Amino acid sequence: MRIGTKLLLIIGIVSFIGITIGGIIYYFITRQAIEERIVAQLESITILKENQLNNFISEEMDDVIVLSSDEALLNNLINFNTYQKDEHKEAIQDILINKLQIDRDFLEFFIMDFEGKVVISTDPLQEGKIKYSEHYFREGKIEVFVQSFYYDTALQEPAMTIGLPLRNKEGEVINVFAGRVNLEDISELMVEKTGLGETGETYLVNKFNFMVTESRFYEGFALRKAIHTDSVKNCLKKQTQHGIYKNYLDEEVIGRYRWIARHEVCLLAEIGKSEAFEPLDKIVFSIAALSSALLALYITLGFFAGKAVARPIRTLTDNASALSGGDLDIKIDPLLLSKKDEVGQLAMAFNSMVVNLKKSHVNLEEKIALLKKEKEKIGAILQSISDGVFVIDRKHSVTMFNKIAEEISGFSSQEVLGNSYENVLKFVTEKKEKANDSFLRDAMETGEIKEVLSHTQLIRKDGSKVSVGVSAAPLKDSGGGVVGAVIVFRDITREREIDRAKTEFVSLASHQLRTPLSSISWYTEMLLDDGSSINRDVQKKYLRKIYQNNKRMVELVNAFLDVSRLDIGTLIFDIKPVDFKKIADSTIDELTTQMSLKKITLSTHYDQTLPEIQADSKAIGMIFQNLLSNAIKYNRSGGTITLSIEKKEPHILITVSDTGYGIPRSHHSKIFSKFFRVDNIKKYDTDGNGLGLYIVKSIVKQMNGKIWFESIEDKGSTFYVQLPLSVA
Amino acid sequence: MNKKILIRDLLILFSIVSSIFVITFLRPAPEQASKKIENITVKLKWVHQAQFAGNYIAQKKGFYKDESLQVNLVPFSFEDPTIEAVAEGRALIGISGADELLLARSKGVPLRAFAVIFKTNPVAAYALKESGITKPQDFIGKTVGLQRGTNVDLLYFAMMEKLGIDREKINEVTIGYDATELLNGTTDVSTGYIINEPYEVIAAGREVNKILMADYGVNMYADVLFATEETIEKRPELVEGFLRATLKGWQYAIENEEEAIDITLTYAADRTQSHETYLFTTSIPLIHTGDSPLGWMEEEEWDRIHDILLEQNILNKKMNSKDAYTMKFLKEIYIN
Repeated sequence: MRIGTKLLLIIGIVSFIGITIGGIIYYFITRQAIEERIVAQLESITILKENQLNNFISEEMDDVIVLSSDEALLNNLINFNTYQKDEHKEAIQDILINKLQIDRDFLEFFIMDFEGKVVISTDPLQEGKIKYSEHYFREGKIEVFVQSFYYDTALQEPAMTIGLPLRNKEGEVINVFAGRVNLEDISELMVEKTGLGETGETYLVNKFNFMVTESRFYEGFALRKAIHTDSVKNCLKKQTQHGIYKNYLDEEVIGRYRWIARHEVCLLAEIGKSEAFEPLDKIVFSIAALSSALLALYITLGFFAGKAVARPIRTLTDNASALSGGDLDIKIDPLLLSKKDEVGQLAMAFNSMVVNLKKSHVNLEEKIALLKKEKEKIGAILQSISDGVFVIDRKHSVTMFNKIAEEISGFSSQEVLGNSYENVLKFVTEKKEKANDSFLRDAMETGEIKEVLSHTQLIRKDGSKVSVGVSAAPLKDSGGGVVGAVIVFRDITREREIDRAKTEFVSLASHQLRTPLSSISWYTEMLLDDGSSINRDVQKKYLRKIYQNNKRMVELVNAFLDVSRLDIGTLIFDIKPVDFKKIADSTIDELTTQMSLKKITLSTHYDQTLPEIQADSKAIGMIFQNLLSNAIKYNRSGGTITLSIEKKEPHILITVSDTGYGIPRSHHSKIFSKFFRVDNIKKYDTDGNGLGLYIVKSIVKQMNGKIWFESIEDKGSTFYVQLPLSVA
Repeated sequence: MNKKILIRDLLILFSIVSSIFVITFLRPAPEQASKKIENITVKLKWVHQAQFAGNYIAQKKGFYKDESLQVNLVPFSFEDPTIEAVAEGRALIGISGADELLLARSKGVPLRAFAVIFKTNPVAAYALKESGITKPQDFIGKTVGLQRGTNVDLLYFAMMEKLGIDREKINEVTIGYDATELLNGTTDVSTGYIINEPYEVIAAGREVNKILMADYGVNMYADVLFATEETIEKRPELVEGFLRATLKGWQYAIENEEEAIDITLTYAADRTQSHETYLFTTSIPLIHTGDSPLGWMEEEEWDRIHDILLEQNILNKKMNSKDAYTMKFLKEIYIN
């Protein structure tokens, strides 16, 4: 998340919570204030009504007390009690009725005897009834007693009756007086709704939980409706409190209740909660509107604050990413650097970091250039080393592969680099072709340079094998730990060839030279032992034999040397313009003696347009010499030899035909092999060494020419040598 | 402030708020006490009528069921009077007059009252308005119809004696349980229940004067709820439950007059609505005056009942009226 968003979010959440809490607090404070105001209002109403109730009842009590001490009434009563005369009764009734007419607060006055029997009443129907069990009678015998709010069975209506004793002058109780109070005024007082709005009311509940006055809303509740709400219960426990509660209609109200001990009633004043809190709805709306506006404001501020904080940071971030992109020349906004706050400090730190980075970067670049040069040097060295070199790391994957290595293995460095060397470069033993790379692991394990002693071959890309000499040197880090290895290998095919040629030469020399040497030794011994007794002819013969054998040895040695040189490649061609005819003629000259001995006639056919050809004259001479001497050697006496040299663009063709023994068909494929001698000629001549044609073929091959033959046994052979006109 | 701390605090706040929510709103409902439903029979004082409206309400509104009671309300019958039915165990609870209860006790039947419904006895004398008879003293020289063998004549005798009226000067005749004799002129005054017979006079289109005998010092608790002493001692929870539900039924009836009458009519199918309405409205002041709890009994009243019965020779010897009733259940219900 971006810092601006974060900031915005935090400010948003914090201000939302703040505003919500603030709104709630404001709401509750307002609500509290309204509640308090309502409660205060209800309180004043209850106090007012309680006072009015008290006043009313007190007034009625006073009236009854005043009336009970009326002298005329008492005198008449005493007389009535004594004489039971109607005139006294009527006098009393007059007094009482008179009072009733003046004071509308009373419905009935009556006087009871000690049995509770109504003896005189303003209502004649009541006379004779016995009020023995009524409280106003029982209590009224002793002192003034208000029996408030009860349903009078005799009257069939709710009533309040004040009872009190009537006393004579001596203070003795003579009767009980009672005044029945008109409850209309109290009902009016209670139903009076000033200050109670549409839903408010005040009512009285007696200690038996009965509503004693009428409800403002329902008829017939007086002394019938039992109320068991918590507020009434509390009130009946003589508590005076206020609060929000459910009233007897199960409606939420703000109410105040007050226990009026004097009359043992609970006075409740209530106003509907919804009505009371109606102004609150408007306030809630205002709070919501205000909160939304504030929230919007805070979020806007947060947005800009976030931007203000985020912008320099973003600038620095841009700088940093430019820096990481390699741009060391970035300039920090001087405005940022001049700031004194955290961002300014950050910018300063960033700036000094950039400067330091630049310094070290310059150093680093110098060093890198140096290292690069060194690396290039090493690379050049490695690349130009005449041996194949490759480097592997600890995991055997190839990290360097030089040109010679490419040449030897046939793999390009791309094919090898990064691969595990085992997967590409397979070193095997020469004979059994088993993997032979333990030297490498040894080197890496022991940390010592290891060289392969046995004959090892490398399998090239094309599947062919090349003999290699290979050694591995471990690469060590500064702590001496092996981190890889350098493997150096070279193509030792030629060395191996030379080696073999040497061996072959030695064995051949010892074998081929033994026969002439033995002959020479034998003839020389004969001459030395019996020199005097042998006649001159025999001596001559012996010496000729020695000479012949010696000559043969010389030829043999020459041939060996030629073969060796050819095999090893030490025969160095001296390329010059060569006239084939001249060389042919000089060779023929050398062989004249032999031809005349066997009475062989030679005919030559030289192409007259034959140019001089770039070639080694000695090698050409050897071709002619060997082919012609073979044609002589394996010819019959009196046979013929034909030599022709023709130009056949782009070649020159040398043809040597004889009329000799020919080559059996079965030997055709072997005649160019070293030391091979055709069976059929062995019986005629022992003077061959089996190297002539091998030498010719080797030379022709080196000159990029071809050699082939046609031969019929006992008829003769024709050898063809085709050489390119330009030997270059 | 560290952002993590802020988030943590918000999380804590959130979890507190949600815990409060969960605790407040997801609190499991209190388990209903599942008690075994008891089947009880209640023998009424009279036939089905609004006199027992509280019982009907308690039944129909499930107040009895709330107390784990299945109540069978059995009307009075002459073949099996209430006192006997309860005494002999055919009913667990009975509704009858305090006088009958005391009489039964005097004969050694161990019954005990535990509440009173009709605190003021409804026994009354009634006369046509044009007769001008308004008080017992007016009966002299007139023909008074008496319902023999009930507590109606008992109260009448007691009242006359209390008022010192010489019954020799009155022509007392026996009448049935209605106003026929008054309406056909056989009597000048008839006696009966203020809640019942005067209605017939009114229904006949005549005006009536009612003289409630209780007004003349001879009140006797009319409908008391009672059971055997054994039941009260051994099965108090049953009695208390029944009483609680019955009182609740009565309070409901008082507050809901029309519904009470409707429900009554489902029991008293042969009655008219206007009859039951009259019965009910005249009963309420006798049951309830607002200056004492419903069902509440007074020692003085029991003493007076005892005294009246003694005076009338209904009881042949003094007895302790306190043994005839118990306030235990009322106190349990109202005070605790």
